[in-house]
Amino acid sequence: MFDYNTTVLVVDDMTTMRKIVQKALKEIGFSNFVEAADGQKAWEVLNETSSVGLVISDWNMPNATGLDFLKRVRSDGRYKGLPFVLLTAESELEQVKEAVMAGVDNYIVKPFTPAMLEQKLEETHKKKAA
Amino acid sequence: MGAEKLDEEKVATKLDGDFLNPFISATKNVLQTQASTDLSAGKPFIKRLGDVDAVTEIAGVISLTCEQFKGSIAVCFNSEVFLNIYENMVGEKHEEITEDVQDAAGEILNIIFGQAKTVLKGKNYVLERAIPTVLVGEKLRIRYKSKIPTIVIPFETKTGTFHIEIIVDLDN
Repeated sequence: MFDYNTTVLVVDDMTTMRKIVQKALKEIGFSNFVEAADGQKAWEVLNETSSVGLVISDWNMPNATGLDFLKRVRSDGRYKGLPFVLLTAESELEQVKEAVMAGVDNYIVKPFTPAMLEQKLEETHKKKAA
Repeated sequence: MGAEKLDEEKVATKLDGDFLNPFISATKNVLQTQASTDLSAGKPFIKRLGDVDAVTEIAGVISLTCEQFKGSIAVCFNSEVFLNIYENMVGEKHEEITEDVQDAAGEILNIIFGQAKTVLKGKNYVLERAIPTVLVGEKLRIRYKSKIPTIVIPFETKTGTFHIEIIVDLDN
């Protein structure tokens, strides 16, 4: 599993969803978070926070979407290996293909429990470690 | 009276279980999964203009647009039920509905909409993407610019009841 001391960047335009994700992450064992409300802000936060070791990002956001952010992350050599998990709605699963093409590591569908998120993170960590 | 009855028959026929059940199932699933809230659905009924509404202090509203019709769905809560669900969802206790907690009503409906949309697609109702709006106020009353009756689906939680309202305009 990930080092629980790592900083998780949580990106969603809805305050409630950012809080839901952080509550679940706390239950899993994480305690360090930074957050952003869109892909543009997320890029700025990522560059300002050297300890970010995991990104969990929504897809549909104003200014810059989760896909825009993901593409930007993957095009920068510093973040090529940064674990990136997409947060998506069940009706938007078709978009996962596009995200996979762009280099996303995993995705989780809303609604989710902390156990479901933990399982996704374990899968992601194993994939990255392989 | 005759026209109203005809409208009700049309709505009841169109809004059959095939259409309503995905929203009922999604509501139960979303609140059980995301907010650890057990709930049961009551029998759907038709609300007419002039009927007394259940107390609503916050509502999430989203449009329902597909080839067959246009309409909207609203999830309506009183503050006690809403704040209890919010606490279960994010782990924060609030005594009143403030700006900090309002977007939860939109997010709850957004996830319900996403789940129901997927099921409805398999039944040839292809709903367009939509962005939720949140309405807040004391004794909020949601009125649609239409004479078409509204389908109300009540839900019971340990803290109290909330409901979903669905209205569709079959002539659009």
